[in-house]
Order: sequence, then C-alpha cells, then structure tokens
Amino acid sequence: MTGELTTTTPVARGVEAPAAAPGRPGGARSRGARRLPPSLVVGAALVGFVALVGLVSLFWTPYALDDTGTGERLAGPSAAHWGGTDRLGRDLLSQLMTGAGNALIVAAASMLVAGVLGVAVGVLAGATRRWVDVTLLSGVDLLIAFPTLLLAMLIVTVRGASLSSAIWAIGISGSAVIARVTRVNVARVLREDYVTAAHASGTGWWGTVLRHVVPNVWPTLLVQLMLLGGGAVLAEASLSYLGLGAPPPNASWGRLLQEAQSTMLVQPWGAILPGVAIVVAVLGLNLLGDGIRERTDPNLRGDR
Amino acid sequence: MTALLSVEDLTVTTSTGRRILDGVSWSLDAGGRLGVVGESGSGKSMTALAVLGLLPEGMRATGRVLLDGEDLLTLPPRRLAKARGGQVAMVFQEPLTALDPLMTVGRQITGPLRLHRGLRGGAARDEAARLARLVHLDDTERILGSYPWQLSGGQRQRVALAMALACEPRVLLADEPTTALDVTVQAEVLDLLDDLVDRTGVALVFVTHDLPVVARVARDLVVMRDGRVVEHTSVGAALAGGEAAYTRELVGAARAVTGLPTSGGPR
Amino acid sequence: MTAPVLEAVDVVRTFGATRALDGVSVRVEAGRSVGIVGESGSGKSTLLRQLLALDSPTAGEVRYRGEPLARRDRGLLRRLRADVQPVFQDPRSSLDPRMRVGAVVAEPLRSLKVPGDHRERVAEVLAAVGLDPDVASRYPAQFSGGQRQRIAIARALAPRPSVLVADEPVSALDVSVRGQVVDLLQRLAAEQGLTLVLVSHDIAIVGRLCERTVVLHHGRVVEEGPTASVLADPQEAYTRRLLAAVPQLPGV
Repeated sequence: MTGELTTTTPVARGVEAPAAAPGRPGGARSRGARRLPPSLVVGAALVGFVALVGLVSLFWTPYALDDTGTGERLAGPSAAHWGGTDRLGRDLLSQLMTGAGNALIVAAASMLVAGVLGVAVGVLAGATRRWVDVTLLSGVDLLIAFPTLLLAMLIVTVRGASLSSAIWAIGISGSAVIARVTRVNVARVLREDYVTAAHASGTGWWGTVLRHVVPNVWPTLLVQLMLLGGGAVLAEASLSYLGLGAPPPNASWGRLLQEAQSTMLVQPWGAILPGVAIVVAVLGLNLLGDGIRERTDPNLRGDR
Repeated sequence: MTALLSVEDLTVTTSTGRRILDGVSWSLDAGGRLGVVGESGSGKSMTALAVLGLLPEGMRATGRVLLDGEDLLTLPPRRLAKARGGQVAMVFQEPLTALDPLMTVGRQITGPLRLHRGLRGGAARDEAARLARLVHLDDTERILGSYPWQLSGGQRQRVALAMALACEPRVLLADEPTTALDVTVQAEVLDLLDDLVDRTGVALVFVTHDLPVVARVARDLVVMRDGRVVEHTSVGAALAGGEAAYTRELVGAARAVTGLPTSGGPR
Repeated sequence: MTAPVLEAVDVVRTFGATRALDGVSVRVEAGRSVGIVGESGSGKSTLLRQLLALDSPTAGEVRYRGEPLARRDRGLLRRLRADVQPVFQDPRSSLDPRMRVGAVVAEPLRSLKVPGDHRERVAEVLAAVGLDPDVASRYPAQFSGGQRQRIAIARALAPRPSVLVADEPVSALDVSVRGQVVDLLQRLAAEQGLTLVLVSHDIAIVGRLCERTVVLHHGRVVEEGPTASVLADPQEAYTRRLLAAVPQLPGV
C-alpha cells in the first residue's frame, strides 16, 4: 500500500527513468520524516529533566542528606525547604534530587545488564542451532516465571542490600524479556530474502549478524529497553520500599515513600513528591520508547 | 438511462494536502464489467477504497460516488456500512488476510447472511452451501468445515468470492483478485468471475495492473495514471490502439511481455 | 566435453512426509539459459535453493562444474558463491531496508573479498542496469519496484558471476515494468555472457529468455526440451494447461 501511495513510476519508454527521479519521496514525506513524534520530544524532555536533576545532585544539593538542620520536623514547603522536611528534619528536596540520580543510575545500569545479557542470549538462540535455542529458551522461560522480588531477595542475601544488588536483580530478570524479543526478531530477519541473498553471495554468520540482523533488530530492542528502564525505576522504588535497595543515608524514592507512609496525614508532601517523581521518570522513559518506535518503524513512517 | 454506480470528480487528499486521486470520474451500468488498470501509485486501489468509504485514516474524499443515485460519500456511517456488503462487496488480492483464521469457512460465509439477510440455522447453512457450489467449491461439506489455512490459494479466493456474493450485492469490486495466484488457478478464477457476472447479473469492477488479465473479464476500461483517469473506453478500443498515448504504451508493454514467442502455441 | 556449470542429479528433497523434489535432474550448461517452469508446490523454489547451495539434498547430488557440492568443501562452495548469483522475486524483501544501495550492491564484493575498488565496481554495475551511480547513497525504500529489481540485479552482477539464478524476477512487478526488466536480463545475458537459470510460473517470460525449458510438476520433471518446441508442441497435458492459462491480449 505504501508503495502505491509514495512512488510514482513513469511508464516504460525503454527507460524507466534511470536517473531521472529514482524515488523522489515527495516533499510531504521528507518533511514528515523530519518532524519528531511528540512522544519522543516529551519523553526526552522528562527523562532529560530527571537526569539533569540527578546530575546536579552529584555536586550540589540544597542541604547535606544527613543534615537535620534546625530540627524543624515534618514541615511543609517553605522558603528554606522547598519540598519540606522529613520526620528527622532532613531536607526533602535534597533527598528527591539524590533519589533522581539513583533511580536513573539503576535504570541505566540494569538496562545495560539486561541488554548485554539478553541480546547475547537472544542472538545465540535465534541464529544458531536448534538445541541451543531450546536450551537457552527453557532457561529464559524459567527466569521469566521467577519473580523479580524473589531474585532480588536472593541476591541481597548473598551480596547485601546495595545499589548494585538492585541493579543485578532488575537487570537479570529484565534480560529474560530482552532475550525473548531479540530471539523473535532475529528469527524474523533471518527469514527475510535479503538474508538468503546475502548467504547466496557468500556472507558468513558474523557478516549476516552484524550487517543485517543487528541493524534491523536494534530499534525494536531500544524500545524494549526503554520500557524496561521505566520498569526498572518502578522496581528500584519497590525494592527500596521493602528495604532491599540502597541503604540510608543514600536516598531512594521508594524509601522516601516508605518513610512518609506513617506521617502522610501530617505532611502529605513527603509522599506526594516522591510519587510524582516516580511517575515523571517512568512516564518519560515509556514515552521515549514509544517515540523511538514511531521514529524508526518504517511502517509507521511516511505521510500521514 | 442512469448508471448503477457512477464516480464523479472523485478527489482524495492526504492530511499533508497531497492529491492521491484527482478528479476521477467513471460510470458502470447494471451488469457491466469495468476494468480499472494502472501501475503502482496510479490510484487504482485507492479508487476502490474510496468507493467503499474505506479510505486510510487521515485521507479525505470529495466529489460524488453515486450508487443508484444515492451519494455514498455523504451517507451516514450506519447506512454506508449497510450499503457496503449489502450493495457493494469487495474481494481483495490476498484472501488469506481477508479471512479470519480462527473461524471455519462455513461460519464466515454464514456471518454476512445472518447480518444482512437475517438467515438463521439451517436456512443459513443451506444458503452457504449454495454459495459454495456457485463458486465451484465442489467438495462443499469438507470445505465449509475447514479453516482458511487448510485450503489452497485458489480455494480461498473462491471462499472470499462466496462471502462477497452472500448478500447478493449489485456491484462486486475486485482488487487484484488473481495477482497472488498461480497461472492455472488464475485462469480458473477469471473464468469463474466471468461466469458469475453472467449468471448473477452482478456488475463488476476489476482493479489490476495486469492488462491481459483484465482483458479477459472486462468490457469497459478505465486507464489511470498518477491519480487521474487517462482514458475511459472499451477494452476493444483500447487494444486496437487507445486514444491516449499512455494507453498505447501500456498495451504495448503488455503485448511485449505476455505474448508467447511462438505463434503456433495454443491459446 | 566440458561439464555443465550446474547440474542436479536425481535430487530428492523431503520435508517430513512431503517429497518436495522427487528425483529431479537438471543440467545448466554454460551460455545456455534454462527456464524452470512450475506453479506453487511444484518444488521449483526448493530446486532453486539446491542450485544455489543454500540447502542440501536428501538424496542425489548437485554438481558445480562437475564436482559434487559437499558441505565441508569450503573452497568449492566459495567458487560457486562468486560464480552463481541469485535474484529474488520481491525486491521489497530482497534488499535490506536499512542498508544504502551502495552497501547492498557491494555486499557480495565484501563477503567474497573480491579484490579491487569496490566503489568503482558498484558504479559500473549500477550503470549496467541503467541506474545513475548517485543512487548508491540512497535507501531501497526510495525506489519503485522496477528500480529495486534493477538494484538487486546489480548486486548479483557485482562479483562478475557467470550464472544468474533468478526466482520469479518479474512477477512482483507491474506488467508495464516487467518488459523492461526482462529486456535488461536479456541484454545482460547477451553482453556479459551470462547464463540464466530462470524459475517462474510464467511460461511466457521463460519463452522470452531461455533456450531450454524444464516443466516441473509435483516435484518431478514432466517435460523438458528446447523452449521453442515445448511451447509450440507440448507433449504433456500439464504443459498444455499451463500454456492455455497464460492471459494474453487478443490480437488486433
């Protein structure tokens, strides 16, 4: 259908317009392609904002995290404490800012873990022999069935509660999904005629994987990873909420929520602000994923 | 005498303002056989979709599509849905995508019978069997009980035809209905179409890029290029050398590529 | 007498219980183009994969210049890859959508490690198929079906093969464009001394391009001979049915 809409072929006069107009995509289309999807813009802005705040928190926060200050506890927002204070009188905004950094570090690092592990397993399963596929897939299925929380508890028992334990737990359980998506897409690309054509003109396994499979699979994977990143922010918050994340004084949105739970009626900001922060980060990553899909999926591109 | 279906100054624009169809006009009499030919991008399929009010999202149609004097373009959605299927039915290139893989062929044929003609139970089943025989699905019982993937490409296209004819439409729109088929099967389906038009009196609009194919079933011809009608003539006149240079080019190209090289070969 | 470039000898290929090829023998001699005619289910695509050494026979063998192809024989396989190039039916799927045309056409050169200036060779073969060298920097999606098939043919020509194995090279194209691609194949065969192996359900195209015709039906060769005599005087009922089914414009 798209061909029907976008290409106009002058009919045969012995020459089918060899150089004349090889696929002039039409002004409308190239303009459309350059216009970024709104979800991409909004998603990038939200994630960028959270990242910026997190980055700033590495160098500067309004107060030190363990600074109980004047001892003004459970105060609402004020000129001195924009986000108010917690039950020990610590500045909430400072904790939120640090929490942003941690949330994104966990998201990025677990995306990396999931990406590397998942893609390796997925490519091996999709592009090699059948018994490898079957073996790896049963492992992946086992991992998918295994609750992230249980895995996290196991890892924490072995390594102790820390940021890196959370990263490993989230990354490993996320890798199962990435492996599945990779495998399906790899298998799809391998069935394409252009791969057969490549084989028939002497391209080997590595050549096929690097030249055809990876370029055709990565956009889908990137989207999946972004969604995983959103999930990772949530997972990190849940783990910290349960005390399985980074221990204090390192701040985490999940732990802020947990601490604010008992004092919510006195100082609602303590629960609202971390809640909003989580929503912003997760929404941002999901929108970013959607935006990348819209931008890279050739089926969604074109003049609409 | 008024035409059964007439398209008048049909123009379709995309959301970006590009004209995909530009002032397309043609008409079809009751029992007529119209071929719409053109290359990819000529707008021939878009014409069929616009007639049925099935344009892709974001596209807008202006002009008139008159079925028995009633403008389909301005019809409220409910009455249009009724006209579609009831009065005008469509057959697509790939029957497998037009058929529901999870439903037996029998149930798919009885679906529209129930919806448009109010037939139930035994009556619907009998009618489905009659339709299956009409399209020469001879092993009727077995085929009605099968799923689409259990059938061959030719059988699937026959099923699609049976579904299209279920509501006794007055116009059958066929968009490249034989392009995905093998030559021998294509020949059978073309013969079937020919026969159906004769027997049921349904008017046929046959959209294709394949001039030799359309010459086999159509009497009138609309030649399209870049969203416009280049020529509206009879098949015979077009083959004898149409008025438009483009028609002559198409005929020449088709002759060059489909003519069997030996004159002694059988027809 | 020299051995045929490609030869299938009593090739059987089964998939589970179905025999896709049931003892097929086909000889492709240098300079004598062969058309393999059949419909879906005839086994023509399976045979094509055998001739391209993309699949091994269940029984029988495929020979390249007299030597039987074996999985282990890397050297022979390599010579075959450089010498026998494929063209597929649908250029929409046979060109990687994320590769520029230049890279697509250069792929066999890179994979086969053909010495010489690849860019120059790409421009040369693009010119040979009637495309401007500028197209190398674009993506396949920017071209019409006919132009894409030209690109696919350019890719096949790049490593200077002596045989093109084409699977329905025009049936995904508009009728009006088919003639041009057929002409192109005909011209290339003549100018570059290419031997065509054309697999098609369209006996008319085979008639235009091939000296010999092999008719395949249910995994067996039912008729074989010089194209002119197969078309003019078909011996088998199936061949006659095929011929009768070809849609033709009535004469003026």
